[in-house]
Amino acid sequence: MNKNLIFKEWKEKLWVLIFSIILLALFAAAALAFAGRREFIDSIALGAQMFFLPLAGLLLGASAFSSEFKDGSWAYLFSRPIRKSAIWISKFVALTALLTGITLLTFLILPLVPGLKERFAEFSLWGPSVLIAFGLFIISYSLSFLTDKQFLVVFFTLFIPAVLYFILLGLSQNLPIAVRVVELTNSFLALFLILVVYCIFAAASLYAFCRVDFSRPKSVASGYLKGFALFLLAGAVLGTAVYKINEGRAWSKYIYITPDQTDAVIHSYRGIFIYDSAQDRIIKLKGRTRNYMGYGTALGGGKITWMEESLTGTQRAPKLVQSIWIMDKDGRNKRNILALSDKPNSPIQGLEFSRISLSPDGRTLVLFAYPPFGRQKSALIWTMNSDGSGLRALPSPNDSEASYMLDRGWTPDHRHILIWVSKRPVAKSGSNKTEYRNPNTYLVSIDTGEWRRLPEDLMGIHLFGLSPNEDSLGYLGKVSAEAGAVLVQLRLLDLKTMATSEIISAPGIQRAFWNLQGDKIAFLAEGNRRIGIVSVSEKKILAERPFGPTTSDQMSWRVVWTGDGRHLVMSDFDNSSYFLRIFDSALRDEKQIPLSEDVVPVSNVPHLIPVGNKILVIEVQTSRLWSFDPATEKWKKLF
Amino acid sequence: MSDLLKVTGLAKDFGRKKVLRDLSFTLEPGRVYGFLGRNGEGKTTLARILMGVIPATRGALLFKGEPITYGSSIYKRGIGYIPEDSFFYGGMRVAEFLAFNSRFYPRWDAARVRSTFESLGFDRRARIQTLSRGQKLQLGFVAAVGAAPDLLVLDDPTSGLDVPTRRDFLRGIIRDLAERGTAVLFATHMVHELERVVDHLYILHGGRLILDRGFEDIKTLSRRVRLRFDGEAPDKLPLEGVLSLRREPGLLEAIVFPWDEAAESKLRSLSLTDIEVEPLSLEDIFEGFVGSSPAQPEVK
Repeated sequence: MNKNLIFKEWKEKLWVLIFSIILLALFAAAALAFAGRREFIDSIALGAQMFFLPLAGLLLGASAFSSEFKDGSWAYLFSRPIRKSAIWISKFVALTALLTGITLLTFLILPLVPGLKERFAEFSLWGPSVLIAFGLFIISYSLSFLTDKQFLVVFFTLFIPAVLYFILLGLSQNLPIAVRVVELTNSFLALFLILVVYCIFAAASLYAFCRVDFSRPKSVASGYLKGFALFLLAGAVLGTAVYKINEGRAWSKYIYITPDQTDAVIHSYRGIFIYDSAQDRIIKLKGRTRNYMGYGTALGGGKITWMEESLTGTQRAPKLVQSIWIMDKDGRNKRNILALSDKPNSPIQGLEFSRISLSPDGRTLVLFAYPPFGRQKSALIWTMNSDGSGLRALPSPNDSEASYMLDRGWTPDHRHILIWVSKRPVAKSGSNKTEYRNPNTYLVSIDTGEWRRLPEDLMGIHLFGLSPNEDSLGYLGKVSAEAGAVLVQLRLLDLKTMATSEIISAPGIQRAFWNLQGDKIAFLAEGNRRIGIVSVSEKKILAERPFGPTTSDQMSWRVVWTGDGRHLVMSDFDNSSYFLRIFDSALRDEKQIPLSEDVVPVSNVPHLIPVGNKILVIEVQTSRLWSFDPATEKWKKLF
Repeated sequence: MSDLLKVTGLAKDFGRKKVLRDLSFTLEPGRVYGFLGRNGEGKTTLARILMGVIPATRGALLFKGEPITYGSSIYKRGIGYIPEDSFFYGGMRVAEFLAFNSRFYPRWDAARVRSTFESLGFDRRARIQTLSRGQKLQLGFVAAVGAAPDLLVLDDPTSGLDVPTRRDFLRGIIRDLAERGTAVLFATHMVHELERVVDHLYILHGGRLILDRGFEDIKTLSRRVRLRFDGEAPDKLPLEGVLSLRREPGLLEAIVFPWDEAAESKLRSLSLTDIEVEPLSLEDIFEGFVGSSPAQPEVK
């Protein structure tokens, strides 16, 4: 690297920086002029992020060597006592620094303009924008010593297939491999692979720059292509090796939590962990696997079950290989209890399991399966014993479209499950429109396969689950309007007698949540501006209050009880930061606890999961996990 | 005296075209070497190979005893270079250009640059693109001299220059450098530029060095001979080294190299009516060697 050349380059390209500042100032002026007109502000923010920066990268890169090769001073530069590699690297460093400066200006100055700050935060395009801008810079820089014609031919020969690939990928979304690749694009491995591609361009360029005869344009182009082929091969070997090594965690970072009363299984790209609420720590039970770990993880009866899957076969004809595993809660006795088979006589040939549930006694598994991709038919429900025996299908209603098992969906005898089934839309008579039908809820026998439709027309979104003693199902019942208020009933369905009863009726109830003791239900009402607590036995509202003064439009629609029933917690956002609202069980007091700096989620309302007396807080986008103790108001970072 | 630059078997092919074939020569400090050749004979290619601007196809180069490869760069600290077309970053100012160059050369002679530059009398703040071709060349010289080089490579720099610049500036600087011990490789197709400065002459033709002699030797050993005959002149002369031959009724005019007493005796033994022997200018010698034929026999 040569400082002399770096300063020369900065002096030569200073106009790009000045031009960028002028353009950014125009963006800012336009944003001020069109303040309040959202469609213009959107265009300005989008233009600055997705077009301005990539264009700056392309211009800087493409002009890197063009001046020397157009006016003939390349021969003079090459005759100076400096290595060619140093020339290439010095220019690269100088222009990269310049592009970095322009990027920082864009993302530091434009958000200061009123109206643009929110748009910048909302678009969240800085990652792709910077990646594309620097990618275009590296690629065009790497080609900039070719003649104009060669530049265009090579640029588009190498660039257009990449664009076509992504277009085709978009068109082929219904192929499993495409789905996987789309998932992959969110991962750090994808970022690594993109950087490998950039490095291939850069390395080919440096290789050619140091070796070719610049007095012969054909030699320059062929030298570049030779270098490209060489480093493409090296990059392919490296990329494949890294991909294979990291295949298990190749997919997007994910974290799923299945809570119990005192424990929770944390199923993530790092492996399987158990959270012990008494000790407030996580224990690793199983490391990551080379296989993709599916959604299914379940906890029950001291056992943990999970699903692994991998893709085999060719890209044209991929085969998804799934297997179901089980182990004890302490991580012992890991064993494979089911492997999906491609054998024609296998009852589960060609199926794809999506979710899994383990009975609270740990003896029975329920598996939700789908036919292979492209043959969307009814969901199938299968059941088996946790020792791997007794696999069989439960029949499904003919008109069902998708089946979901409710949270706390096992009855006390562990022989029935509650299934919520959506139905296919039907054509409206006399019209070409389709009519959506209300879903039904069924009590399904594990032993006989009998589907028993619950008597009430229970809308899925109004169900709030089995009571903790699992003998009755809570739901929001009939809505009536009295004296100008919309009254909603909080009702119970006794699963033994199938009798229904009303607990209370109150204005505008929208969500309800059992405590773990099963004696109280919390509810949110009136556009989530009010919280109340109901006594189930006394059938009356014990306490009720509006939320604290902070306004919000991004509140989580979920209230969680701590295991001891002493606190209720929900997450909220006041348009500048996330915080928790914490209530005591009598709703006498509300505390607002801001999420500490390192807990602040990037863009999602944090999910709250009660385990014991602690609350697990997950930020989904970055897959981070903390525990929070409402009694002591202490945070602990777990993941 | 030890060799400053030793070139052995140097060749350069551009695809099928062989521009340089098996060139071997040595340069010593303090001497001015003329490389004469028509346009397209490979002078620029040779200069660029020496400066590491383009790679050689074959051959070995030693500078101060150290081998030079295409990737070498340190040796260039000892070489000044004025390329054929003096394009030096048109957007730079004169002072910036000199400062830019000074940072590459540890032996940069700032005092000498200042004194040489002041004698030229043009604006330090002027942009290079606003300078005339002669001024650009002068600036290139100043930068090359500033490097305090062991070897100065001039690649046909004089075309388009006015006479005073060529005569005073160029020759002055070249002689001054040579006196300070710098070897000068002056590649040109303009023969008369070399006449007053060159110590040693190479003629590049057909990709080969067809002449490699000290300039004084060349002047001594080359002659134009006019032979008059009583009757028909013969078709050829019984001599080695007849570079060109012009035949008219009763007259033969030849350029002969090498010329010596033995040659004269042989000619006088023919039935001549008259013989005229006269020395040649460098231009005549060059024309005699390269003539109109594409490839002359190699003479060493």
